[in-house]
Amino acid sequence: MSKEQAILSFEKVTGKKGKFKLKNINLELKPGYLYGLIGKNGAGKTTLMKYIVDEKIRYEGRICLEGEDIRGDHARIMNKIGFVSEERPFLGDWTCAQNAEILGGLYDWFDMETFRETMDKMKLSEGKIYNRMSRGEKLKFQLAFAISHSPCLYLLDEVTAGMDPVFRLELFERIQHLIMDETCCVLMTSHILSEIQTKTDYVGIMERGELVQFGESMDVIGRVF
Amino acid sequence: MLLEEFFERKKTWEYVIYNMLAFIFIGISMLIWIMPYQVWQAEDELVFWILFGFMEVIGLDCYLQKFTTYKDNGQIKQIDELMKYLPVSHKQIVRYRQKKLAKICVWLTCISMVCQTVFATIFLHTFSIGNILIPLAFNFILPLLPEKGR
Repeated sequence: MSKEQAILSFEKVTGKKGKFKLKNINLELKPGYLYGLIGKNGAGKTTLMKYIVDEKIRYEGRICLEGEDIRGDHARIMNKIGFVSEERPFLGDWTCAQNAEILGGLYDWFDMETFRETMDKMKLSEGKIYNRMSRGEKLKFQLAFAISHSPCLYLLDEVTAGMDPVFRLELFERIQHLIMDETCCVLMTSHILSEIQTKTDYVGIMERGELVQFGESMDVIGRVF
Repeated sequence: MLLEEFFERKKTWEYVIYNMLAFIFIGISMLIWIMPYQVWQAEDELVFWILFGFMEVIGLDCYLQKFTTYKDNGQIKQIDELMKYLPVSHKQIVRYRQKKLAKICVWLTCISMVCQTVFATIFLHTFSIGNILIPLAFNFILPLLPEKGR
């Protein structure tokens, strides 16, 4: 994929489903970058991600992944997306390895070796029961799970909220490693301004379902806050 | 194929129990469907049909548990929730369930049709289209209707 071609694009996306509301979102994410989304609670950060991964949400406009409209083929789209979120359910009574084997088997391509290596690097035991892990461990597992099916788009929803500095440092190191080869990009939501300013390449500011600012992180954060 | 593997791997002893219950309930309900409907032309025919029909529904529901739910922290949760962020669409899951249900319903329909026809002909020396249509309606069309609507 060339660096000019967007991995993810929103074209005039507007929609409302219950509390999930977005207004005229235009956005392009290119490979090799880490994108941040900030905004108050209820501003629409998580909602924007839900529009990408939830096949049941209806909207006007177009959301494209690698140039193809995401509507109509949820299975194909989810093969290309690594979604990491506290809300995401896994088989809670099963171990990480079992989760990877059972759920990973649903992907067109899932590398157990990569999963084991990533878990090792993050000092996580594969034999741990998912429900007995801490929030941080669950998110690390989810990241390892996502990495193992080589998506072109990573969506990280509030993964750093309430986490210690060591976790955050490790996470950003891993993200930098992921985007280094410029085949994928990462979109993350956060409440931590300093983190977004220093760690992400571009940032978008959400307010009441609208993307009110978008640009280079240093500029935007410096200008707005 | 991926879903087949997924459900096979996710198998736990709870689903073995569900399958046993399905076998028992469907087995009992089949007692009425294999007998020629002409035998049941008594006053309480409808009560029997509803009762046995209800047992069949419970049996089929037990059979489908493996494909509709999963256990998490002692709670029974819907498989659709788990699949939401996985590369499986809602349509694929529904189709898969329909296929599984249709397969078992075809067997039940065939067994009850054959039994009704044979028993009616041999023991009652009669046969009517009802011996074909009643098994078809109660063992195939009615059980598949709720799944079709999903």
